[in-house]
This record gives sequence, C-alpha cells and structure tokens, in this order.
Amino acid sequence: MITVNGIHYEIPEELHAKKLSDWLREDLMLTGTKVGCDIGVCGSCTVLINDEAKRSCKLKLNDVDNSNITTIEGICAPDGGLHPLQQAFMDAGAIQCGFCTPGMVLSALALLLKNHRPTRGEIRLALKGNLCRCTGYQQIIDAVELAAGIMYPNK
Amino acid sequence: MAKLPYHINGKLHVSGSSRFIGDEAPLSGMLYAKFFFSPVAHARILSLNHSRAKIFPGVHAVLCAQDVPGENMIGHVIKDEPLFPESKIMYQHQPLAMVLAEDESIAEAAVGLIGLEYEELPPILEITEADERGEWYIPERKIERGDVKGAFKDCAHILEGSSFSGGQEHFYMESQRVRAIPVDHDLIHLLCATQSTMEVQEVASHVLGIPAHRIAVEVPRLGGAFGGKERAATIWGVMAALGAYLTRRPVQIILSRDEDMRATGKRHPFLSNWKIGCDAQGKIRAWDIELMCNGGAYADLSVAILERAMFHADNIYHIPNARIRGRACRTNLPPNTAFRGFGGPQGIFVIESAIEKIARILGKDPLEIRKINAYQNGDIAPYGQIIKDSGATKTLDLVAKNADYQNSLSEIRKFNKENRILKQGMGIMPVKFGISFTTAFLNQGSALIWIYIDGSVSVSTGGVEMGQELNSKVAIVVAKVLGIPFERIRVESSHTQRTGNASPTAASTGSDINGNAARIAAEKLRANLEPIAAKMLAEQGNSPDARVIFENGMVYCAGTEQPKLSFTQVVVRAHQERVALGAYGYYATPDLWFDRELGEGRPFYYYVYGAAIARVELNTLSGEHRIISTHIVHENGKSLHQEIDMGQVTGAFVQGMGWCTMEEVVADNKGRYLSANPSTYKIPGIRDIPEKLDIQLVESDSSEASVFGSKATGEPPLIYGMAVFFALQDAIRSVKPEAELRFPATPEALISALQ
Repeated sequence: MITVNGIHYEIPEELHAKKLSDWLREDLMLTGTKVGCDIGVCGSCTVLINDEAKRSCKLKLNDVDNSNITTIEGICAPDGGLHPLQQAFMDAGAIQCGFCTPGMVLSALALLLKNHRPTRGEIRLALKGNLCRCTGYQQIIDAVELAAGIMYPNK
Repeated sequence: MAKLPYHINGKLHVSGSSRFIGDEAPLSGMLYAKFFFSPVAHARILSLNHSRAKIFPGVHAVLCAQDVPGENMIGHVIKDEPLFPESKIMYQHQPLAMVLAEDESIAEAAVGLIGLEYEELPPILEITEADERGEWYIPERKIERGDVKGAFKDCAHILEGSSFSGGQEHFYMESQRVRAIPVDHDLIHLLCATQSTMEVQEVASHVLGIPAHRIAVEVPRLGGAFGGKERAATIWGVMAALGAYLTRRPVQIILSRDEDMRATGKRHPFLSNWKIGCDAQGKIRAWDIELMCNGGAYADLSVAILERAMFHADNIYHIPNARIRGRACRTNLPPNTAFRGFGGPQGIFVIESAIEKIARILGKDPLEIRKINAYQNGDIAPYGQIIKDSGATKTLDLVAKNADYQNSLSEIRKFNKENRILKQGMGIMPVKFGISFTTAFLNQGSALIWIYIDGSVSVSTGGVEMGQELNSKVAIVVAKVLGIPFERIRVESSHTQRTGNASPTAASTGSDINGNAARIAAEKLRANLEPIAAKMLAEQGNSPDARVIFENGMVYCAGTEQPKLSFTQVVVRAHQERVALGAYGYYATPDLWFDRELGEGRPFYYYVYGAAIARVELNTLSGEHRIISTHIVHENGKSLHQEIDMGQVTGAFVQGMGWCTMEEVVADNKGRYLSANPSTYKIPGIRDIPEKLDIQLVESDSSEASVFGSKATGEPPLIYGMAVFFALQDAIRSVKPEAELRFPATPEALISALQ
C-alpha cells in the first residue's frame, strides 16, 4: 500500500515495476510532479517520501511500498489555500517558468521540517540537487528564508 | 498603487496546477511518437527500410521523407532544411523516420527494427575547416566606417589576437514537446512548445500542403525556452502535425532529455580574428575584426545571429574607424540556433578581450581604458546609428562605486602577495545591447481584448509566456489603461486563431511589442467606455464635460470623487447601448531600417546599458573557484515591474556566468554530442552563484524607451556573466601575466592556462 497526499492506494502486481513519477502523473493525474531529465539529476520530479525529498523518476512503486508520499498538490491547505512556503515562493519572486518550482518547493519543505532556521548556506546545500534555469536561485534562497520565519516565528 | 504580485500565474505554478504541454489527460486514441535518428553526422542514404517496424503490433504509422504530402522543407528564411532528409544526412541525430504507436515503449521497440544503409562522408565540425572550404550559407557580410587602413598608420599601439567563445545548451527544464489534435476533419490543433506560433503554422501548412487557416497553433506556456524554442521547436511541431494529418489521430511528441540535447542546436560557437589600434593613452582609433560562427548543418537563424554579433562588435566603445566582417559557416552539427543574446554576447566577448589586452600591454587600469572609449551622445556606431542616450559612462561609474573598485583592487593585490595557492581577480563587463529584431519587419505585434459583461477581462497577444512574465507585464499595462485591478485580467494562451501572424517572442522585444499592442487595444476600449461613463455620471448630476477617471475598478469625474460608478456598471451599460467591448490592437516599432548592402542603417529602436564587476578567488592547484561578489548596475527605463526585471537580470547573469565558466558542449570527432544530460553537462546550480550578488536597477528617462517608458530586460544581462570570465583571467594573470584563458573557464581550462 502507498499513501499519497493522505489517500491510500493498493498497488496491483503489474504496477510494481512502474516508475513512481509515471504512476503519479499518468495514473493519479498528479501532474505537478514534473520530469526534467528522467535520470535523477535535475530534481524537477522531487516528492516527499516520509518527509524526505526523493526523486520520483528514480524509484519504482516497489521501492516505496508502505510509504507516505507528499506531492506538490498535497501541501496546500484542504480549502486550497497555499502553504506558507508556497506563498513565500510567490512573495519573493522565486518563480519564473514554473517547471522546477514543485520540486524546488518540496526540497525546501524537507529542509524546513528538519531545520527550522537554516542559514543561507544550509539552504544552498539542501537545494543543490534541484536545477533551475530561469531564476538564478537568489530569490529561491530568499523565499526559503522568508518561509522559515513565517512557519516557525518563535525561533 | 498596491504592490503588484510577481507572477500572474504564480499560484498555479506553486501549487502544481499549471498545465504544461503533456500534462493534460491523454486523449483517447492518441499516438506517441519516437524517432529513428541518424547514427552518423554526414552520409549518403542508400536505403531506409521500415517494413518490419510498420507491422510491429501497436504501430500505426512509420513516416519518412516520401510521406510528406506537400513540400519537404522546414527551412524558413534560407530554404535549406528538409523535415526528413531524402538522400543526405547532415548531422548526427537528425530524425530520419518517425514511428507512431499506441504507447512510447511500443514506438521505441519499433524504432529498433528500422534498417539504414548509408555511405559515410567525412563530417566538417570545426569553424576553420568550414571557412577554408567556403561553406557559408551566404557570402561574407561587412560593416565599415571611416578609414581603417589609414587609421592603423597613426596608432601608437597595434595589437592582434584571436578569440573563441563556445556553444551553450539551452537546458530549458521542459524538453521539446507538442500535441497535435485533428479537429472536425479540416483542422489540426497544435499545442506546441514554441516561441513562434506563426512559423510553426506557416511551415506546417507548406509541409502538409494545406492553407494556414487549417492549422491552429497554441502555446499555453513554456517551461523555459531561452531561444531554444524559437526555430528549433518548428521541426517537432511540424512532425506532430504531419502525424495527426495522416493518421487522423492525436499525436504527442515529448523528447527525452537525451534526445533533446543530442538532436537540437545550441548557442553558436564563434571564432574571431582581430586587430586593434590605439593611441598612447589607450584611446581606440581602429578596429578590424572578422567573426565566424559555427552554424551547424542548416542555416536556421545563423545569418541573423552573425549579424547581431557584428552589431555588437563595438559594445560600448566609440571606434571611428572600424571594419567588421562576418561569415556564417556550415558544419555537420545539429543546426545551431537562437540563444539569449543571439550573437550579441559573442560579439561583445571579442572587443572585451581586446580591451583587456590593451590594458595589459599599456599597463593601465582596464576600467580606465573602458571609460575613455565609452560612447557619448552624438557618437555614431559603425553601422551608422547615432547614439542618443548613452548610459555607458554612468553605469560604469556607478558599478565601480558599488563594488568599491579601487579598494578592492588594493585588497586583491595584497591578498595575492600573501597567498601562494589562492589567487583573487576582478573582471569588468560593460554592456550596450540593441533592442529590436534586426530583421525590421518582425517588429510588429497584435493583441485582442474582450471585456465581458461582468467586468472581467480576457487579453490575448501573440507573445508566448516562458517564465519572463510577459503575461504579468501585459496585464499591468491593460490594468493601467482601463483603471482596473490586476486580478480582473486573465492573459490567455498565445493562439493563432486569436492573434495571427505573430512574430516570435524573442529579441527581448516581447513586452515592447505585445505590451504596446495590448496598450493600444485597451486604449480603444477605454475610448469606447468614456462617453458611456460620462453620460452615466451626468445622469447623477455631474457636468457632462468633466474628465472621466478610471481607477482601481471605479469610474468618476476628475475633481469630484462622488458619485462613483463601478467599472462593471459602465461595462453593462455599454453593452446595452451596443458599444463594442472587444478591441484589436496593432503595434509596429517605428523608424527601423537597415541596408545590408551598405551595412548601414538604424537597426535598433533603443539600447539598454549596464555594467558588472565580479570578484573571484581561484585555487590554482585544483582549478576550482568561488565568486566572492558580483555587482551589477542595469539601466532599464521606467520599469513596468521592478521585481520581475530584477528576476530577469539575476537569472540571465547566472546563465551567462554558466556559459563562460562551466557549460562545455563536447562533441566527439564524429560530430556526436557527448554532453547529453545534466550529468555530462553542467549548468549552474544553487551553490555556484556569487556569495554576494548586488544588483541595482537604474531608472532612466529615455526618449526612445518603449511601453510606458520601460525597456527590455530579457537578453542584455546575460552578458554580465562574462565579468566572471575576465575576473578568472585576471586571477590567472596575477600568476602568469601573458596567460591565455580558454573558453569556457572550467577548472581544466584554468589549470592548463597556468601551465
């Protein structure tokens, strides 16, 4: 069984070897997960697996049995409201074409769940596996700093 | 005005609900395409056998040259490029046949059953070889001003050199893709990741042999493009159209990263030989340069790119006697194509290399050499355009101040004296970039606006949204003219049925052309609404002659803020009184011309100026470096949105820095790209950016600026990245003064420059 954004899925045998990224996009229609290189280098397909950032193009469904997966669609509030980190990406101007954005947000979220007040250096380290060709990254670092202050104001 | 949101579609992107091509649900009956790519760079085709592939279960068609119903030609300006080659393979990974099957794995398996017999021919891969053989798409081009020969006689110093700048893979995060959907029986709807809807439509109509109105091209948005989806998208768009036309089924093409990087062209490598003459102070008197570019197998946009390189061979420097020659060379690489800067960065790199050499030979400060040669108002560029609002000196002075240039120089000298292995260096990069398509007729744009009767507004332009936030800027313009909140406006996909004959979204002109067209359409609508509003306000006791103000979704008379009407009330009444609520706007950039025979004209509507200073620290043992700081001053008129422009400057700088320090396009001696994915081609990551990146946008009041006084920002800032290259060269030269640094300045290049 795999849990995606709080919903449980039983996986039939014939899907065990299917790529997680393909399953999310094709079977669950969760197309916020993007495929940029399909060899696990660019980070566009990043999802959270038990709160760790992982590349979904490098995993088979077999590899994630009994896992709790969060995709970009799963971090919005139930009423569709944005997560503070998503809002910070908008407010800091960390989005241009938007293709790397879901993966970037989820890698940043994995960091913030563990480290409530990362330094700019720690943010760089945590996002090193996510490529962006548009922004030049500066505003992405700003967004993560901004979100940390909003998510954990009393640090 | 309230702070504008950054991105009109930001909420969609950040929540994963924005749809890129390929994200929509698969259509029933849809076929998936895979290609049989050429295994060699240059060969005569003896036979292409796809009989086994055709009968493979799940395959619906295998298409190649003989299946093209119309003209097998996708060359646009110069007609030299077939959709599928008939007899001659011209580059490695050229598509020779397309398999359409029920899923991608079936298509892939069937591709493996295609047989090719060929006679291999020696490929031409290098610029010098192509040039020696006279492999040019068109004869040499020339721009000449003053008496170059005579001027060299009076020069105190004459320096010569040769400069090479390398290719660059676009690496848009979203690979090339298209979905073609047959509609009715006489229309193909192409959802195509292109920067140029008109070109895909026009070429597809020729290839299929049907009128253009039977092809509708739509672009919802692109996941990055950078020029790589201007011409290079056409081939895939037309392939999908052909497949859908012949099978009457939807067809989807999504290139894998590997296919995309091997089969599509890149930024043009340039090789330039030059001679420069100056007086004892370093004031340049004469400049003689020949630029040669590696254009790849077909002309594509190479001639226009060469031309822009020639137009930027002066950069910010006034050189009274100049001869600028250029040759675009044909080789057996995938056709090289547009890439942010479009030859401009390559042209500028040469003169900046020459300036660095002057400073070194004369023992002068490179900043000083740059300043004494900078354009002043009234100077004339080599191609005859008069410089009107030069920001060259101003931006250089300001960036030197921001970077604390003189103190940094002393610090670096001290640091280099005290450190044996680590060496620091500083590089300067001024920019003057001409804005307009140099092909004058492309400088036109259209917009279509509908105000619906609930007061919401739909805007279409021919412009393509690819992350540059054109849609946000268009919405800002329309909101301003109609006096309504930004949120009332939806900017639609670019669609040939709403805005036909659109020029590519390119040459940094997107907001100028489409923003002005939208402004004009919005002004028409406002003119339609004004008499209705005046009448309604008069009915409530206002003077019928009072000026009507549209502001923040409300309408009132100047001087009396009450009574107020809502914008929607006025719109409803206008509809009842049968006043048009839809309008078309058309804009053509004025006063542009260039005579290619004379090499003279006014190719640019205006220039964008700026300057950068970078400081680096190099480990001379490992060749690794860090960028300690980069300061940028960028002049951008009256910005429509400061933060969007800041984002463009930041992103372009990092892309330019990548080009000249880490992005090395490697091909083997058979013309096969070895850089074919992010593990064999390094684009900047988040740890590669400067530790301190300080960008100052400078507002300016240029008479030639564009929509509401704004200026283009897309391409010029890429050039700032070269400050890092020259900073590394400076660090190297603190150890070995005569060292020549190879491009790009990878750790290997840096180490070998020191040996």
